[in-house]
Amino acid sequence: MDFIKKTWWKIITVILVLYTIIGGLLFDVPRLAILNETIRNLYFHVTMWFAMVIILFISMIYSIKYLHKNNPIHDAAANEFANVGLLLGVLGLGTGSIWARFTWGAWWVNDPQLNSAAIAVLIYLAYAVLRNSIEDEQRRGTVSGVYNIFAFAAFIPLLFVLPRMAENSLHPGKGGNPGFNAYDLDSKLRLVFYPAVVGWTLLGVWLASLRIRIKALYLKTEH
Amino acid sequence: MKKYLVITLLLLSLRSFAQKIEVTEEDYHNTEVEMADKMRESGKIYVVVLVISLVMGGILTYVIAIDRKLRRLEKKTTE
Repeated sequence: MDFIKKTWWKIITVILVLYTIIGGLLFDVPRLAILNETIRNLYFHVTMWFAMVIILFISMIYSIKYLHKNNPIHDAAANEFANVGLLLGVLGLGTGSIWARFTWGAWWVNDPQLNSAAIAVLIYLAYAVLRNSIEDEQRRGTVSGVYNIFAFAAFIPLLFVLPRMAENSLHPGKGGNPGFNAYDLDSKLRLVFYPAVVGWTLLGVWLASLRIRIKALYLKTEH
Repeated sequence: MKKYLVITLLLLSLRSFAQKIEVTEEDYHNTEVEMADKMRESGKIYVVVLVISLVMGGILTYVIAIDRKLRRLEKKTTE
């Protein structure tokens, strides 16, 4: 856990986030019909989901660690990473909704990808509710730890498997739709996209780390 | 070691799902598609970039300030 107190990766975070904003708005992008200038949302909407997946994965790792070693700081870490994941999920839904309004014409469409993403976010909302409903710390850690592992196991198929198996979906890359995954081949979009994923993820880790450190201070002063 | 293996496999599996359609060089010069070209020509886009960067910079500075305060507290409690 010493990593979260180091400075170097926070400098990288600041550079990458600012690079994402500047490069994301200024660099060349392909001129595609319907999308037009909104293709730049790729760096701000899609990256939210990427960052969310990575951060929820870290959260699950800490839940496993807690169940294994019963160290309360691991429970705190799992909780705070899940909170940041939830924040990113809500931002992902919000940005997606705005984007949908101006390319598909509606704030929300009954689309397999959108609905399952919403369910995925609700699963983690339930995690937060579950945590707050248990008073005893030991029990809270164990119950929410187990829930968190199952939540991640449900989250991945909801986001990456089921929408792709659906018959039809508007969302790029789903239900037989050609994807944005075109960026896989397009080096100019990749130039900002990957740094953006790393930048937003690190920013999420940073925000979570602040609250984990506060919790660590609490634990220290309690004893 | 195992942890990193799992992470790489996870990332690789994300990639393998990709259905690819190519963005060609033509897409970069296709003037039939409307883009915010006027905004770029007049240089007003830089105003937007500056404003957003300043807001984000302010938020990041705030985060750094919290980080520093926490560090001082941590030092105090270890003494």
